[in-house]
Amino acid sequence: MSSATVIHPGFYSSIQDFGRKTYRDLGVPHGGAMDQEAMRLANEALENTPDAAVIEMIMQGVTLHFSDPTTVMVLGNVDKVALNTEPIDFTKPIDIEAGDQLKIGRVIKGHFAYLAILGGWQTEVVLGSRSMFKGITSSARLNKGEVLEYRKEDSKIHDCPSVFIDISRTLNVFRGPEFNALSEAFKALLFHTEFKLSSSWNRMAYVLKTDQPVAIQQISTSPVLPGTVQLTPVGDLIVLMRDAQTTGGYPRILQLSEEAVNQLTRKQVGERIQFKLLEF
Amino acid sequence: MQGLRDCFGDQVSVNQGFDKVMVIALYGESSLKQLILEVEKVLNQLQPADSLTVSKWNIPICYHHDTEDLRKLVHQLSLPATDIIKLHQEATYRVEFIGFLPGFPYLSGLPELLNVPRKETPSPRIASGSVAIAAGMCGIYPQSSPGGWYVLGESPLPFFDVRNENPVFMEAGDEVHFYAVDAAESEKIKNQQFEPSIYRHE
Repeated sequence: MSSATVIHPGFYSSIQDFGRKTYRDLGVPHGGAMDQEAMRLANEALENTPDAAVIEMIMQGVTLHFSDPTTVMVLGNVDKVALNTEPIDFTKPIDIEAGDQLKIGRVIKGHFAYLAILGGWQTEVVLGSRSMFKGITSSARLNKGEVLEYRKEDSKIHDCPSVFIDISRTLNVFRGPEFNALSEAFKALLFHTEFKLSSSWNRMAYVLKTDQPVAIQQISTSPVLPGTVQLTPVGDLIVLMRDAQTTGGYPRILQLSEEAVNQLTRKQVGERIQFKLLEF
Repeated sequence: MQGLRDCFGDQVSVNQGFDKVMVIALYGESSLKQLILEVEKVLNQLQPADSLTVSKWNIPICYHHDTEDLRKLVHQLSLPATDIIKLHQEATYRVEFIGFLPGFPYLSGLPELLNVPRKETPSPRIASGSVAIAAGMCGIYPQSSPGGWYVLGESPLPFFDVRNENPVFMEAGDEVHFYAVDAAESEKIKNQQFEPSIYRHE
């Protein structure tokens, strides 16, 4: 097996795939790549299967040293990528030779960037997924010096399609189970306000502020999903993301579409978003 | 729940809360109608919880004696620590569902005298195995985590371990009793190979 050594892990990088979907009854979160569309596109560029494991990088890219030739694809808005200290074009797959060092720069738009490799990263599979998660995989993130295996495969890439990523500010949502408990005034506010992303965001949740304390009946702890929007008594909207817990006690007023969860990961602090209600 | 699994296998994911259950169709919309019918069928055939055969567990716990959490509980509940521990140990609990953290059981059955709200500010680190109470419930932290519940003691059993065939040995509906062990016994259990049947009774 070929391997890449982590020379610098960036700010917070982890191995991700589509996550764990069938262990929710054990309290195991979905997990998986925050922007699953970006992960799918990065894999597509390498003609990998869509669920091949990628490295997710938050805010700052990784630096890797490769033992053997392969091909990788960077997806995300990063400022630069250097191969053996030479800046290179990273809008298409990058061919790697044995002994090469690849350095990925800062993420300048959104918070997440992805690094896919031919055949996918071959890290441990736990409960059907390679997605790193505390208490499930042996580590929750990449560490300096860590060795990541990959398959020696011949590149079969023909031509790389141009990559389209939706950055519109409108997020499609459905009604959540407790939506009908909201007042008409609050419902109107939800769909006519441009919400600014607060600095409170991570792999578990993004917080949006309405600044409108609301009296809404609390619920007993209930199932929640990535994309579930919870409303707290002080009027914060907690948009649950991939690593969110499986249950929560705040009313579930909205549910983001799968695409809207991906879109939200491409936003940054201070940027504005608006909800658009879809009917089932 | 088992009915849905038999019918749909890994095509559905089931997620429980107290009085709500979520069934997630993982693949496509083609079988959605059939799934809805199947869910309705299962709901119509629901049995009252006490008529089901469930596993009964005896869970060892090494109670704490002089901790900040215990002192706070003594103050908040106006009960001596020995009474708090006695009441906690004598109660019969039921696993309502697994949530919050992988393998974290929500246990109902906590005596009303031990009903205390969650901490206003969560503790930054609660140790793995901690048995804790808050909001009228008892719970067990399978891994270390920040948390807002008051810790009474620690259990040496692995409540979530991906190396076990079944990572979580307890299931929703199961009955739970606690029995006190001292620190030495707790350490001994921790170092033993874990075998769930040792802790299951009748």
